[in-house]
Amino acid sequence: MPEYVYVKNPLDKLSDAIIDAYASFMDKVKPGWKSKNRGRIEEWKLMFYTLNRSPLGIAGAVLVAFFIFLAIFGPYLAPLSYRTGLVLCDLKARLAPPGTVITIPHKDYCIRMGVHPGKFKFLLGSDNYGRDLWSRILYGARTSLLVSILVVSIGSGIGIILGLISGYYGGIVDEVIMRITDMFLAFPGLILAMALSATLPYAIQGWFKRHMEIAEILGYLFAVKRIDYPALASLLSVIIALWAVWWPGYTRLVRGSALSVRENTYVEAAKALGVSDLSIMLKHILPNMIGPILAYITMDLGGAILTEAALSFLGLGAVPPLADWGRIIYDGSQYFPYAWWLVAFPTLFIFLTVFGFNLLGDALRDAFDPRTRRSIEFKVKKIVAKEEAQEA
Amino acid sequence: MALVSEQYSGEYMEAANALSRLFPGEEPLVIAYHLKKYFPVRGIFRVVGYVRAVDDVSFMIPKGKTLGLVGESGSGKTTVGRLLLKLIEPTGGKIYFEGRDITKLRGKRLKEFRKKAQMVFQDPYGSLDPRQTVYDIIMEALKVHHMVPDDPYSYIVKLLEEVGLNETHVYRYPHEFSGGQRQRIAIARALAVNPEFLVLDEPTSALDVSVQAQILNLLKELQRSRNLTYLFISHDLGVVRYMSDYIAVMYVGKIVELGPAEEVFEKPLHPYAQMLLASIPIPDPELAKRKPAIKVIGEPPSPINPPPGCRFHPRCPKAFDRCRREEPPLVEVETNHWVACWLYKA
Repeated sequence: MPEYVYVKNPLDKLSDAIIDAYASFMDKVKPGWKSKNRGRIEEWKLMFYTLNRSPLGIAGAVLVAFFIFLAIFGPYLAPLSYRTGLVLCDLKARLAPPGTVITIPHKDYCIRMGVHPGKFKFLLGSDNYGRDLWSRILYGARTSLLVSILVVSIGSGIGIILGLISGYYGGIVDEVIMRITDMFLAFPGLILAMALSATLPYAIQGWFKRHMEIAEILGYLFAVKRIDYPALASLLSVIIALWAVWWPGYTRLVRGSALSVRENTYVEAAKALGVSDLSIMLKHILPNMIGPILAYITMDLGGAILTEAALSFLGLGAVPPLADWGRIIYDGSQYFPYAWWLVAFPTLFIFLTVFGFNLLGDALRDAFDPRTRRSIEFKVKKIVAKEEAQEA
Repeated sequence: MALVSEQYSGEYMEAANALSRLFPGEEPLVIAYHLKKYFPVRGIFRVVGYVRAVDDVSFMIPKGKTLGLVGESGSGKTTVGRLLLKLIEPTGGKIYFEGRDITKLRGKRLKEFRKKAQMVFQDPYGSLDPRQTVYDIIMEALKVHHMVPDDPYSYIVKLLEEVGLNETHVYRYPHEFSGGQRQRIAIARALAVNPEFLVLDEPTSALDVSVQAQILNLLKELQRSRNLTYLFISHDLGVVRYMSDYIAVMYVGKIVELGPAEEVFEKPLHPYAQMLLASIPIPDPELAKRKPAIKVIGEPPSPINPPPGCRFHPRCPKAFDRCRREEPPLVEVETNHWVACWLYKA
């Protein structure tokens, strides 16, 4: 009789190893964990098999991983800081095309800026202050990632909570929440965000003066020098402005899913058992709709990067001298088309990152969906003779 | 009547006295008294009508017995089951469980009630959360009522063995089971908190015939060993006859006939009950020929706008003038056999 065995590619084996390692770790912490979660481990493995079989998904994952690597280690890898202008050291440093090599003289003001005397190469060119574009892009990755994570995590959090309440309770609660959501959706998001991010910075600057520790934490996270802390206020105001426009989309999405999930009999069964509303929402409704939402969140991270870059391009958000992809394009556009690199390279990075998040999100949606996961299961399995199966 | 002691409210005494004649000699566990449930039908701006799913129904369920509730789709039998468990709020009337009015229960008291009354649902594929293992499903029930035993694993294994499953099933997910096994898990979940009363809402209608018999036998066995009281809701008359001690026949939100199971099956009095029972297929063609055929005519009316008088009169072969004008009350036509029909006198 023929039997099925898994035909695994190297990626499958890698993901298997990761999951198995995690499982053994959990088993050590909590004895018996492995046998309790046997089914769960199986599902996770299948999820990775699905992802591994989507070339676009892998491409997206690689792009996203690269971006995250840049965001975490970029500021340490950058040859210069984001605010080091070399014009005074060498006039050739102003708007130097990619690949230009300049000579840094033995002068006090150059050494004080943290540059070693000798040759220095502008890998991707420089801007009008003689700042290294490659360094600024590396710093900008940190800004973009943090802003998008902060915006999407809080924005989606508010949206998921409100959507769950709205969809689960229905009736007048639903009506009130959804009408407020509609109000926010009816107003153009970017305009609202612009209005908020243009007015908030002054209040936040005052707040920073009273709470230096918050400015310090943010400064550390965004890899910003102490001298530029006032500029953080405008960055924070962009984040707050985006929270205000980010949640309504999630509220709509989650409410719709919650409405359909709550009709399942297991929700009524939980009610009959006396399970509290909060517990039903968190343990039954949320886990049964989280797949598509997680996929949407992944895509949305790209969207948040784009929106933040757009706001920076409009002169809101990151203010000079902070490094931000949108801001670099905005500042560089004055010298376009001569200094094309100031526009082209940041654009390329934004494009690749957003593209990567979109590809990954698409593949994740398939991986989270139990139906496609099941169909993949058969692709991964191959019919073999029984003896072969035993060998495998 | 002697069963009603002073500790109960006057309202309960009234209901219990009124219903004590239904099944003499039985101690009531659950009493439904003038129970009503209207679902509003919303138009664009206002409520344009009501679906009278349950319309003034009174009955009681004796302790340790099974009351079978039969009727066509849309007759309101599932709504009655959900009302008795307070999964939905009644529009009017009272429900008493062990002498206590449950329609007003809130918070802690409601939780105590939930522990005593449980439900097994029709669809075993939908009633188990696909993301919980059997262990999680049963633990949830125990945790809610702070009943987690010192050794939950062995308690769950014992429970699973009681419903015909075994230790190998503990950490599995619902999708790994067949329909019958899932229904066993659903029963185990309901039994985890040691309830006294179970509402069985068509527990076998989604299953194969052979599996049906197994589940029914399991339910009967559990009733004996745990002294459970059942409300058995079904449209399958054969199954109801097998399971029930007493039977209530519902038609468009009303009980039209009520009595001991054998009595109702052997000698149905209401024309609707007669029609319903005549529609049971008989396996033996010789026997089937001898049985008088009653033609099924028409369809049940809309519960939004039920016909005046007796709700069955448009389909009734024996309807006369009075049926179209006045609604018949439920009266005791023969000993213990209650019928709502103008053909019979109390």
